[in-house]
Amino acid sequence: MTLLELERVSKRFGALSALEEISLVVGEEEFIAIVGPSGCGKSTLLRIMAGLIPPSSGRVLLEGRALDGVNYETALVFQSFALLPWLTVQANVELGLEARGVPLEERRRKAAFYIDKVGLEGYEEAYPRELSGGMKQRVGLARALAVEPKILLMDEPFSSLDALTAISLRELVLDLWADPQVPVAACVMVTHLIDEAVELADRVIVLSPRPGRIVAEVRIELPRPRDKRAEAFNGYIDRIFSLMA
Amino acid sequence: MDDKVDPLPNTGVNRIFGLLELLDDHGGREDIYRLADELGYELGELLAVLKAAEMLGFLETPGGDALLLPLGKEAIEGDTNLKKAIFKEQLQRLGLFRHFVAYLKKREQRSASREEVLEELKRLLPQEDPEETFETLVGWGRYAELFGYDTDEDRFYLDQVWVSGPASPGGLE
Ligand SMILES: Nc1ncnc2c1ncn2[C@@H]1O[C@H](COP(=O)(O)OP(=O)(O)OP(=O)(O)O)[C@@H](O)[C@H]1O
Ligand SMILES: [Mg+2]
Repeated sequence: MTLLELERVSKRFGALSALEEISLVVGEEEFIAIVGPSGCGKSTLLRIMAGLIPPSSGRVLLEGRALDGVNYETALVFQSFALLPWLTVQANVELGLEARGVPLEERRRKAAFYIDKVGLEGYEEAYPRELSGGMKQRVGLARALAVEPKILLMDEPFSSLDALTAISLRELVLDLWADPQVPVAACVMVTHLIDEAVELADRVIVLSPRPGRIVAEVRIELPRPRDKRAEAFNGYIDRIFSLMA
Repeated sequence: MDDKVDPLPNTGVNRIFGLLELLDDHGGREDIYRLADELGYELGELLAVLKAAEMLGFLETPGGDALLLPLGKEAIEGDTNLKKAIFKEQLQRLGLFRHFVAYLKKREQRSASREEVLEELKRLLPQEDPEETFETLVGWGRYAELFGYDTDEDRFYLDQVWVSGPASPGGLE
């Protein structure tokens, strides 16, 4: 089933054209990666999907209906974590729920559930400054998951982490994605790392340099867990690399 | 408490598990220099993570290689709760963690201030940076749900009631 559909979406900022004629369908059970050169409009595309900014032209449809304003079926995970430093882990995770008017009891319960899911039980009273980057991003994931979005949007979620921490967090995202208790129906992740896209996604959308247009869509037909040393894995990397070059 | 107390490498849980995953991707064994190279890590940085994983019984380092052990493999294949349980059990074998479990148990409300813990660390490990060790103690301890630290109250505490004794390393009341 189609969850979200973009129909010939373009975005201009004044004279600058950021995205041109993006048509894209996000279906249920799909993990989509968006790759493209720096400044080609990847973050803009995610913000349009989240309903944080409107397209200049074209349409965004959520389950077949035109999206008007914030898309409450999505939640965002940011490269910079975007945690509030004066709030504890627990309070940061509850934040999104509070903004959506969820009553206190339920906030506590859902926050506790997702804190547990991302492996942060034991950190509830910690402040962001006490945490490593990897643990901060676990908080970012718990906060996004706690509102139980149908579509999880991630903007370069591992880019500010060191290489080993990023490996760990990718595994966590795959575990959460496979977890039947986590009701996310689709993931859309922006990345500039082709191997990260091939490792995680079912479908990779390749954007051109700005203004971003869709150059190609590559379906990754590899069984999970994926063997990064397999020839087929590297075949996909080479193919996407040449599409971007 | 006559347990031997070894210093802790200053590294975090995510890196430790990341290294086990990477090693698994390499078929369970790889040359340490090649790993550092692939990661873009300084050798010293990688050695700290290797040391941590080795202390925890997740890998060995024979002849310049890193070799994933069955426990390390079990940990990365398990879900979050199994990872934590294994991590906790392994922490309880380390002298420093055993020491602080015993130390906290003797105290009122099973807790101590940060300053008190730093003093104890200076006494136990005079060569080490106590602040760094405290950070690692809290970081690993929180993940394992063995220790907690409440900054507002300045309270380092035992997260759960603990039964000591080598016969029951995982024992909880
Ligand atoms: N609010 C805005 N006002 C004006 N220009 C903007 C705005 N947001 C983005 N842009 C411009 O639109 C273009 C696309 O930006 P965007 O952040 O979406 O790219 P990106 O692909 O995410 O880049 P990066 O790889 O650096 O994260 C850039 O040239 C950027 O400067
Ligand atoms: Mg961006």
